[in-house]
Amino acid sequence: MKKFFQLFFCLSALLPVQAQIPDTEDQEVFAAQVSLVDEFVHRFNGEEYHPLVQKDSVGARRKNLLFLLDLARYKSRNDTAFIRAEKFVDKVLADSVVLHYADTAWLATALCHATLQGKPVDITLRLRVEHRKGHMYKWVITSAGGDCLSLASPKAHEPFMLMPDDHETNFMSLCRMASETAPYITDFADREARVDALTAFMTLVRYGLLKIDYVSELQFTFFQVPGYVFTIANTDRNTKNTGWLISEITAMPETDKETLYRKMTKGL
Amino acid sequence: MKKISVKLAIAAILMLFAGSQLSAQSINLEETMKLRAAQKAALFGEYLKDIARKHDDAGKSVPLQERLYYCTKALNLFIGKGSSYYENGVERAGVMMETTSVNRATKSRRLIKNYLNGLANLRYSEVKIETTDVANIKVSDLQQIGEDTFVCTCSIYQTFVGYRDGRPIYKDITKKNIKCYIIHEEIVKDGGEREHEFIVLLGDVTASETRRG
Repeated sequence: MKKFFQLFFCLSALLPVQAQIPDTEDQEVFAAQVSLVDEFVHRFNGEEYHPLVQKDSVGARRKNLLFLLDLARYKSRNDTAFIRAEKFVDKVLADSVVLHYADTAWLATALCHATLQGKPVDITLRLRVEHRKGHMYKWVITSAGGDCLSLASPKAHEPFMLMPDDHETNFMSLCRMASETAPYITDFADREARVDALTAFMTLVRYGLLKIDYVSELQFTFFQVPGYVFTIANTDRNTKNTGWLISEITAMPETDKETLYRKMTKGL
Repeated sequence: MKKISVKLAIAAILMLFAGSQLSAQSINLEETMKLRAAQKAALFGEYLKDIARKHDDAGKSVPLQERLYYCTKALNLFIGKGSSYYENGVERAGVMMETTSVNRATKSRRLIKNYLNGLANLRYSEVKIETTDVANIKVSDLQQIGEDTFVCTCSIYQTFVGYRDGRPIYKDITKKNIKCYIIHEEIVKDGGEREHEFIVLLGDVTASETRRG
């Protein structure tokens, strides 16, 4: 943490200081904080600036982007991770990357604390923005994840089956399957069948078996920067580097990005 | 009651401003709507302060009845006035207020009317609440949800201090995000001039980043 402050103050010491927002220290932190996801997008696009960055100063846009990094994750300016982050920032500037709300190239990942038939479970939902009509949009769920949605059998066992002659008894065994061996239901599907977690999630909610209590963690993943995928998460610190900040940057070829995007949206 | 009259006057001016007709000629409509939302959020902050405090500036005790009066005023800022309302064709029990505490890891949610009643009845000898002033409230971009209806989020921070026998025994600082619904009406006057009216109603309030003050 000490090194974070050293890095932060090193970075801010090189900046011409803007006129500070008056009043309490808390208000200054609040002004610097990236309080809203929209605010992150506006700062990323250079439409708004961190209070410590003078908009018209040399390199302002670059400094503004650097302030969107979660600086606590870097040991110093010489940290290789920080140098990689700087390359990412330079790529954003070189390619004039701009983020738009209506892009499909950003996803939300919500870790939900839920209750399944009275028992606490964790569910991960992935969401993206979808166009409705005109200028209207909505968030839609693209995939779901969680142990309880895999419908995996509760314990290792010799697989159950429907007997080869069940067709002669009107498949009465289906009644047993749905009651006596319900926890092992996946045993009875063909070998190529795959459980779709999203359908499992929707079915459980539809029949009142699964309730979401609250979202315990939320992050957003962006695919718009060529050759990179980055994620933002909300940090809570009483400093001027806080709020929605870039928590992870991964250099990635475009084909791998497409694969990752498909995996995240389709659970594939 | 003199204090109430002053507060009423300020509230009336803000409400009038919030619902006032404006010339569309030189005003950025989106910025205007965002400003209205911020003003409403700021007014809510003012009411929170009045609901919570047990003594006025002169040290005189503020009766519970007066604090409950401000509860009613605050509820009028919300969609459904804090009671049930329809959204997306679904009836909702009422606007929800999320609360956090430095003494608790999880968040809790209550109907706004229950939260405000609870706030008026807190068992501290004094409670002081401060919220972000309107100039510093952050407002998200507007998103259209209906032909003339928009939503946005106002982000404020709130400082809460609870006192017992004159000594502060609890303090926290919480960031709150307030959902705002803005209904836009365009009125064409006899001369063909267009004027704009905005109705702003507050919605669910989420809380995050509670830390000790």
